[in-house]
Order: sequence, then structure tokens, then C-alpha cells
Amino acid sequence: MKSNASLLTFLTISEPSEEKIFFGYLKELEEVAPDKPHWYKGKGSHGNAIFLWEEKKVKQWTVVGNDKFTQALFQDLSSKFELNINLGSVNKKFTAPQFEKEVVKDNIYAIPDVDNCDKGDRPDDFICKSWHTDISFFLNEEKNCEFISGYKHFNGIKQVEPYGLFYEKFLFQKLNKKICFVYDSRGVFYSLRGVRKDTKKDPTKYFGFVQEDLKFKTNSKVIIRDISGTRTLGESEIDPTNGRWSMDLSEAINKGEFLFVDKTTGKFLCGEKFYLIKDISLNTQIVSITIKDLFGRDINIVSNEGRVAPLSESVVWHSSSAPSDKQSEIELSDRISQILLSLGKSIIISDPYFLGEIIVEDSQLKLSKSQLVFMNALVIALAKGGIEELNILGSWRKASSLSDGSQEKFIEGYKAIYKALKATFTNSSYLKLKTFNICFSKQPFHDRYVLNGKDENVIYSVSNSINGIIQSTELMVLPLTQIDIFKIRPKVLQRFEESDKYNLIY
Amino acid sequence: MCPYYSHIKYLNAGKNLYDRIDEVVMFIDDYFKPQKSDQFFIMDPYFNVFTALRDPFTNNKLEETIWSSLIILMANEDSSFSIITNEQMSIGIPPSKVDFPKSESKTVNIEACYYPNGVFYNDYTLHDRYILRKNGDDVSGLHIGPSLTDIHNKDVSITVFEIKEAELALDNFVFIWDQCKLNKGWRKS
Repeated sequence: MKSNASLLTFLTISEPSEEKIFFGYLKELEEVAPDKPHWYKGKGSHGNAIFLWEEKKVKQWTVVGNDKFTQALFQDLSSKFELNINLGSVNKKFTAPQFEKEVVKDNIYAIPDVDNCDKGDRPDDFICKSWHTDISFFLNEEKNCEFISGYKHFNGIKQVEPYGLFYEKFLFQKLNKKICFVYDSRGVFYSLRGVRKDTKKDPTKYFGFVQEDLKFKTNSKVIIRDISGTRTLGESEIDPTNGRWSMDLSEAINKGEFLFVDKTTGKFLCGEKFYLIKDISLNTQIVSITIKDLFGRDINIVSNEGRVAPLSESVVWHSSSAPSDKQSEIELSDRISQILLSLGKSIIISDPYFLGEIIVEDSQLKLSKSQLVFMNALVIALAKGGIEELNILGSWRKASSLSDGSQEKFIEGYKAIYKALKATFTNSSYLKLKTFNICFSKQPFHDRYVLNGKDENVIYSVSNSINGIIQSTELMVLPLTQIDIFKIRPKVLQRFEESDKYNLIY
Repeated sequence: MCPYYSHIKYLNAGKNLYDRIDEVVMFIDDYFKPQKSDQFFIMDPYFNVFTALRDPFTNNKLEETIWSSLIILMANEDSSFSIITNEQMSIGIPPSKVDFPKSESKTVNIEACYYPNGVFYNDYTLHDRYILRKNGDDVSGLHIGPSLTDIHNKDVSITVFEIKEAELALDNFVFIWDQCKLNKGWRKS
């Protein structure tokens, strides 16, 4: 049966005549709804809700019902900012501050009038200008929010139910952004890739997978339209056994609209615009004191200072934040350069997948777009920062799952990187690299870090593998806290020390 | 092939205790030799799925716990993990889903069911800790002495199930899983 259950919860400040909602959360569940709405015991059942925090009069009200029921409550609340709910023999009045949906500007992925597929990843947030009751003890008060959420304990304060409803720091982060309602819809997780035989031509063959239940995979199909949404260029059934699909388009494209369609009704279930990344060859050159980089920019090497200060706050890149694909890649490359330059002259990149498999065909590097952007950043950092040691630490146990060949072939690919770097710096003296190793960890690991390989306590957590940054559309690099530095840095350095190292300089 | 990882011997040898955890994790991974479309069944009364799995995945700290490390390591395309635990957890209605980190680019299904002792089926209580793997007709399993939730100061013994015992354990797991699913959280009040 199709999932149709939703959970709706309100956090309120209880007053004799009404419950003043200061935070609401509606989550669509992957479950079938009960026959009638079920209010949790002590959270609204028979009109009763116990205090989570009696001194501050904080209560929680929670109901599980079908989507129609919870959405009707939400619609009522968002239009009137008031609800009257009959809970058995008791009628309860709820009021809310005025709130409106947060508008995400410049969303180049949205298709007009079609739902976004991956909503679980980007729930709708609703902002309120101000609350109609005093909740100052939650604003900028992380511990109080965590007591209520159940991640910290304080005698006399109960946690929300069901346990784990809010992830760690969820309530704190939302309230601090003045978000007073969150609507977390079911999403459809999917992937899409184009198959390119020629790096200069756009693909006609596309494939991907859908992570959904059997019914969804059986009852829907995928289609691709041109970017204006006027013409359907191809369609495919979804293999119900593994969620895979593939299609040949009637014309080659590198951007378009990807949609799920209900096979019976023909209605669009959800969809998003997509923009493919083209593979192009590494084409940075150094002439005198300037680098002409991958994007055609002349970058002056000597007018800029080399080492930059270690990051004091996180660096975030999102593909949709720039007005064009090219600008987005420039932004990514510049951020990576700055990160590398802040690490000093000795750098360890610790990533279970290394930099991904480096493919060499006919003595030419065939890099993915992510790898190219990284290489562009690396060339700039090498030239400006005089980096002397670069070690790429990975886990063959993990990387081999994405590699077609042997470990020897994998290493050969990385040797080709050094060859390309050397060629880039042929007419200059800016390449100071004395050590360039690929290092195979003896232990499995999963988290990604970049760090200074010498004595400096500079280490950052990295959200994605380098080879998958553009595909995943985002990157977050976080400087570790002092406690995490003490905990994690020795572990990564030990992995590095014990690893099998292969010199790539020849 | 039933290893015993002694805490004291490791400590007295001056070794790093993180390495001992890695050895346990690698033994389990090496034993199962995970492949595409594996189904794993994990029974551990002390497996807090939120703190040991969901939060590390959400916060992108995949090595934060032994469970998150092990599951990331064993997960392949189309793998599934079914977890039964005594630890309180459920977003309303069991079994709860745990999203696999997208940075891993794999389709992996993780579900967990909270089984309060003696409530769902007669007075049955969870006690054992084991991991079973099924792929096609192949069933294999390991019994693990302590909960993998925390082994840093505990000895760890691992026992390999014979095929028949693994199949029996799997039958038992499926039965308890079904009981757990039948008892929807919202039906109890």
C-alpha cells in the first residue's frame, strides 16, 4: 500500500485559554496511516498534554494521521494562524505567529508547477517575523533546545516524543533562523548520468537509478524533456528489481528536465532541471608570472601572497549559488585553492576514494569535471603557495569498488597527474613539489579530511570525495574544533605513517 | 576461525585501542565478503540506531561509531540492513528508516525496529548479538560477544555460525522482525 501517514507535532507555551505554538513540524512518513488520527498519550490524547518543561509551560502535541488530515490542519494554521481541534471531549485552541514559506532565490533546478523530488533533503521552512509568546529561553540557548530534543539531560525537563524526532541541534538551528514551522515531505532519491563517448559532444544516452519502493518503481516512469520543457526527448521504464533506468534521447543535450510520471494518469509526480558537466582536458599553462587557468583567467602569481591563514570558519560551496555553471566551477576552484593554500607546504589529503580513478587513454588524462576543477585549484595553489609535499591517502578496500583495474593501474593514473603538472610548469620555476605520494591505508576509513602533514594543527573535515563534488552539487569544509583536532588528527597521521606509500614523482 | 580480541593483552602490548576496533571491523568485513544486493540482519539490544548510525550519517562523521564504520564498509549497491534493538527509537511508526549518506553514492536501504522486551510477543526478550548475511540462497552469520556499540574496554569474541545455525537464526530474526512491524507505535497508547 502507498505510504500516506504523516506525523504532526506542535511545541507550545500553554496558557489557560489557548496553546501558543512556537514551533511546528510536519513529517510525511513511509508508512500507511492509522484508520483515524492517533494523538500520542500525554501529547494530546483525550485533550491532555503533559509539560515538557513545567516552569516555562512548554508542552508538546503530537498526532499521526493520514496526509489529508495533517495537511488540512497545516493549511488551516498557515492561513488563519489559529486552530480549534476537538480532542475527544475537549476542544483545544491553538494559535501561531504569522509565518510564511522561506523563498529560496535563484533556484535553477525548479520546474514551474512541478514538485521537487528530493524534498527530504530540502524540507520547506516557514519563517515568522516574531513570536507571539516569550521563547527567549530557547533562542541562542543551545542547551535548552538540546534538553527538549533529548540530546542532553536536565532534571525536570522531558524530551520530545517520539524519541529522535528532531536530529541533534535541529530545534536550535531552526529557531535561531526564526523558522517556526518545518514541512518535511516524502522525497524521491534518484541519480542521473549522461554517457559520453566523445568529450566534445553532448550525450544522447542517459541512465540512473531510483531509490523508492516497488510500487513507485512499477507505477511510474521517467522522462527527459528539453530545458524549456516543451519537448519530450526520451522516456524509460524503471526496473522494479533494482531501480535502474536508461534511455536514448532523440537529440543530444547537456541540460534538460528530468521528471517522474504516473503511468496511469500521466501526471508529473515530481521533477527537476539538470545540467550536465562536460569532460574537458586539463589546459592550464604558466607563462612568466601568470597562470592561464582552466577557465581562461590570467592569474598573477607573484602579486598574491602565498600562504593564507588557516580557516576560522567553514567554507561552503553549492552549485546553485552562482549564476552560471562556469561561474559555479570557478567559485569551487577558488575555494579549493584557498583551502590548499591555508594548509601550508605539507599537505595530506585523506579520502577513502583518493581523488577517484584517474583514467588515461592514448597517453591523455581523461579527468572528470570534479577532478579537473580540483587540478585547476591545485595548480594555482602549487604556484602560489610553493607546496613541497603532497600525500594522497586513501583506502584501496573502498576505492577498489569503484575501480575497473588493479592497484598498479590505479597508481599509474596518479603518475600521469604528476606528468601533467610537470608539463604545466615546464617553463617556470614555481613547482616546488619534492614529495608526491599516493598512500594506501592499512585500515579501512570513511571520513574525509585535509590537513597539514607536519607539525601544524591545521585539519579540516571535508563533506564529499573530490571526485564527486560537482555531482553531489555541494561541498562543505569545516575546521575541526580543538577537541576534535586532538581526537582525529593523531588517528589520520597514524594511518598515514603506517600506509604503503608510492612515489609519483619520476 | 573464531577470534578473541583481548582488551588487556592489547593494552599491555602498548598498542592503540583504535586499531583493535579496526581489526574487529575488518574481520567481520573479511568474513562476509560483502557483495551487491546483500541483505544483512543485525540483532543487538544495545544498538541505538539514532546515535550510532543516523547522527553520524547526518553529521557526515561516518567513522564516529563502530556501527557507522562497519555498515559503511559492508554496504554495496542494493544492500539492505535490518536492525532489531531494545534501544528506544521510532519516528512514529516502526520500522524506522535511516537514510544512507548520499556522499557514498549507493542505493542502500536501512531499517530498524525497536523491540521492547516482553511487550510484543509473550515475554520474549532480546539478548543475543549477531549479524547475518543473506544473498540468494547463501546464509552466513557471526555471533558477537559484546555489543558493537562500545567495545573499547571489553574483550570481543566472535563465533562463526554453521550454515544450519545461521539459517535458524535468520528464521528467528524474521519472526521477531514481523512481530516488531505488526506492533505499530501509534497503536499503543
